[in-house]
Amino acid sequence: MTLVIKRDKTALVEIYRRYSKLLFPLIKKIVGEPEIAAGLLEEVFLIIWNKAHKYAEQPDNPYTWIITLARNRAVDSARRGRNSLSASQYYDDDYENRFILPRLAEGIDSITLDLAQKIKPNFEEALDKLTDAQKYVLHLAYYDGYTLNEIAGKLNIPVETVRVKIKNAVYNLRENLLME
Amino acid sequence: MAETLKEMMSAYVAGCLDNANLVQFLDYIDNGGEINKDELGELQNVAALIPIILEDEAPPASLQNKIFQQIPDNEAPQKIITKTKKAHLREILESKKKEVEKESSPEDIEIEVPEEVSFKSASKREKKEVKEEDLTIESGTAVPETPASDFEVEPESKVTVKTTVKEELPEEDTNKPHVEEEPIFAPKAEKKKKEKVTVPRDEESESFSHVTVKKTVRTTMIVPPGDKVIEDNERPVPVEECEEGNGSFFNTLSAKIVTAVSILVAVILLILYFSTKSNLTEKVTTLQKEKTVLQSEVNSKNDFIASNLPLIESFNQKDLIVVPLAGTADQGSYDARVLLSPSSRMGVLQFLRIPKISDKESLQLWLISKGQSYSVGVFHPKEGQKFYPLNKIPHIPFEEIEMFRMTKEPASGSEFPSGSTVYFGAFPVK
Repeated sequence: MTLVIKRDKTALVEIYRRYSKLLFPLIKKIVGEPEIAAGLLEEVFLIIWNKAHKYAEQPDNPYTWIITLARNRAVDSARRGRNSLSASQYYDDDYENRFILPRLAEGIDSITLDLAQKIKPNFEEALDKLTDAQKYVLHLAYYDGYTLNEIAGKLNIPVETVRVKIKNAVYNLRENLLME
Repeated sequence: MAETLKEMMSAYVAGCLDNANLVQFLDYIDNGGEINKDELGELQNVAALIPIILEDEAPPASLQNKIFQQIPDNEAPQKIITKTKKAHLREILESKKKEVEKESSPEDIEIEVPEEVSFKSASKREKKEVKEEDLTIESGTAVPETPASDFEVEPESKVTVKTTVKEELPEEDTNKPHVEEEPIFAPKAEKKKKEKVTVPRDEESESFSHVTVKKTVRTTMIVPPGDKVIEDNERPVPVEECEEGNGSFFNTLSAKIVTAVSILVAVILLILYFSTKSNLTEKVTTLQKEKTVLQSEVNSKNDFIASNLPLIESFNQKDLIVVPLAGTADQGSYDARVLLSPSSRMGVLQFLRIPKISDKESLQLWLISKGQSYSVGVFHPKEGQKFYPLNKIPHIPFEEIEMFRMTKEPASGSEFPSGSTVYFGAFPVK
C-alpha cells in the first residue's frame, strides 16, 4: 500500500493479484450476481488507487482495510438495490469517504493477507463454535448487509435483542479465536 | 465498558449500522468518547477475517486489464523512470567523483608489507595480463631512499624481504609495451587491479621497508620485453607519464591558443560594444536636445495662443470697432486699445504698455456714456500677457458711448472711478 500511495501502478497490480481471488467471492456473496460483483471489484480497485492517501492517514493494516472497503462497497450496492432510502442517497466523493472507506481504530494490529491465510483454519474453528443464531445474525449483518432495524424486522424481534446477539456473536468469535 | 458501547462496537464492525447510526457512532469516537480503541481494532480485524474462509475465486480475466486501463500509465512509470534516472545519474556522479579524486588527489594507497611483500592489488592484474614470461625479482637489499613517483619509502621500518614475482606475459605482448585501457565505470575490484605498482629493484635482491604505493588513474606500466632484471634506473615508465609528456604539451598549447582566441574575441566584442554604445548615446543625446527644442517651441506656441486667444477670437467678429487708449501725458500715440464688436457685445483690451501698479491696485476700465461711468472690467495685468477679454460690456447703445477710461483702483475694483486716470480714448463717431 505504501507503494500505491506513491502512485506505483505495479504495486496495485500486485495487490490485485493477491486480493482479487478473495475479494471477488466476497463481493459476489454479498450482491449475488457475478457481473455486478466484477463491476464492484473494479470500483474497489479504483478506490484503492484513488483513495490510497486516505489509507495513509490510518494505521497500517492493509488486509483489514481492503477487505472492509470491498465489503462496505458491496453492501452499499446491495442496500441500494433493495432499499429506496439508501438508493436516494447520492453517491459522491464525500459519501464514499464517509460511508465506504474504512476507518480503522487507532490501536488496531496490522494484518496481512498471508497472516490471515495462516490463521484461516483457526478462524474456521472459532466460527464453528458460534451458535446457529449467532452465525445467522452475523451472516445477515455481514453478508446480507442488513441493518439492526432490518434484522429486527426480518426476525421479528426487538432491535435491542439484535444488538445483543450481534455483540455476542462478534465477541464470542474473538474469544474463540484467541483460544485457538 | 458499558454493554451498550460493546453492542455499538459489534454492530459497527459487523457493518449493520445504518448510515445515521454510523455517523453518530463515528462522531462519538471523534469527540473523545470513552471507547477501547485496541478492542475496537481487534474486533475490526476479527470481522475482516470472516471472508477468509470463502473459497478463492478469480474474477473474470479481462477485469484486470479493464481496471488498469483506467489508471493512467504516466503516473507510476514516470516515478520509476525518475528513480532509475536518479540512481543512474548518482552512479555516474559517484564514479566521476572517484575518478576526479583519483586524478586530482595525491592521496596514496598504502600497502603495508610487515613480513612479506604483498602485491595484493597488482598481483591479480598481473595474473590476468601476464603470461608465460616470468619476471623474477629477487630482493634482499634495502630500497634506496629516493622513491619513484609511485613509492614512498620510509626507512625507519625496514624489513628485508626476499620475494619472487612471477609475471606471465602473453606471447604477443612480450615485445611490446602493454597498455591497458581503463574502463570508465570499472567496478571496485577491477580498479584495484589498475593500481600502479612500480617495484624498485636492486639487481637480484631488494629490501623493502615500509612501502607506500601511490594510486593513480592509469596504472598500467610498460613492461620491458623479455626476462630481465630491472635496474633502478630502468624503472618502468608508466604509460601515462609518456602520454602525459606529449599530451600535456599539446593540451597546454591548445589551451593557450583557445584562451588567446577567447580573449581576442572578447576584446573585439568589448570594442564593438563600447563604440556602438557611444554612438547610440550620442544619437540619444541629439534626439533629446531636438526634442527639448521642439517642446519649447510647442510651449511657446501654446502660450502665444493662450495669451492671444481673446484677440484671435475677436478677429472672428464681423463688426469690430477699435478704440485707441492713450496716456494722459502722451499725445498722438496710444498705449492700449479696446476692440469691440457691437453685434456680439464682446471685446478685447490690448495693452501695448502696461502701467506699473502695486499688488494692492488694479486697473479698471470704464465706459463713459452721458457723463456716467460704467465699469467694463477690473484687470491685474501681467508681464507678457497683452490681451484681456471684455465679457461684461454694459448694455448701452454704442452710439451713446462717448469714451473709455482706465483708472487705478483698489485691487477689488471700485463702483465708481476714484483713482487716477491712466489711459483714456474717445469712442469713434459714426
